[in-house]
Amino acid sequence: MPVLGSTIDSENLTLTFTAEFSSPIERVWQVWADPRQLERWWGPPTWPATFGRFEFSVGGRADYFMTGPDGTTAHGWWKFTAIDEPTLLALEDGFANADGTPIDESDTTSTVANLEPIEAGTLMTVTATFKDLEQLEKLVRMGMQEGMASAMGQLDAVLAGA
Amino acid sequence: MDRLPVNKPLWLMHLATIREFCREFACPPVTKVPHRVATPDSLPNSTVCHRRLHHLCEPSDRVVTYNQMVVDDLTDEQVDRIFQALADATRRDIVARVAQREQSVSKLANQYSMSFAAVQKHVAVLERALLVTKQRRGREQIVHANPEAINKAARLLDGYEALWRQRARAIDDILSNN
Repeated sequence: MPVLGSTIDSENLTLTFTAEFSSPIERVWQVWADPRQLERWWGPPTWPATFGRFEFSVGGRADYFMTGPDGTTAHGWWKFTAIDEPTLLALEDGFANADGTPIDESDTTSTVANLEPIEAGTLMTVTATFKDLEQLEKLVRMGMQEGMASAMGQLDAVLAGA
Repeated sequence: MDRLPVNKPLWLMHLATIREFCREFACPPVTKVPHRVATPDSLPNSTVCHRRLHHLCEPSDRVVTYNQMVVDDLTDEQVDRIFQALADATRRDIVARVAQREQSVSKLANQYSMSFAAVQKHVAVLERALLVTKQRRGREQIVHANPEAINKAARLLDGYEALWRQRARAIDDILSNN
């Protein structure tokens, strides 16, 4: 299991999530920098993400939508706020309308990914900062759509691929 | 009525607090088996149920499985009520106290620097969120914790973390396949 742990910091209003991968840092960077690879992990298993616009530069925007089992789509947008290949990526993530326009430009979650080379490969630390209760609830509810069958199926796929 | 301004510090405090509730209070003797957590044939065996509850407290792989089941039981309205009920320090404290031992409203009121009526109002909010139940015993109103609802709230809150766990696995999958 790649997951090392997670902590909640109530002072800084953040959830910090740490995972370890056996690949070198340049390779792990690609899963963030390449939209085709992002699509394979950003959405929950039963809600795969599809990225359209992907301006991978500071201030650049990315548009994506996730498709649920019944065909329902949930749209989102990113704004890249810091990029320092291959160690740091920071972005704001918000909900969007079907046409990709932000529902509320200020209603975003800040996500910062730090990559660090370690002996075993790469240590990835993701820090998510929430704005308020409603926002987190919405995010949690989307995360909830995952469904247990696919969660277990995905675990099997990982084990089979290892 | 009583719609509380929900703010960030309160939110994260209660996120941490409910996790603690889950860890501390879900495992002591639970007389009622949580809905849909135990299988019917395990119902008479309370030890099994406790152990299952304990699993629910652990951020393990199986949490993802239970998340779906438990959250499906909640309506949007119920979720709102739970979040609002726990977005207040006094109410979290009331839940913590009655989770340890049932208490009368008047005894609770003695422990806060606020009126009996104010404490009663807090209890009413918790009651609507199904986090506590109230029972009349003689002249007293006795407040009990409802560990089932506390567990549900904790499961919901673990959902975001579960999402990142799945993402990490998916990344690992991508990395190991090329």
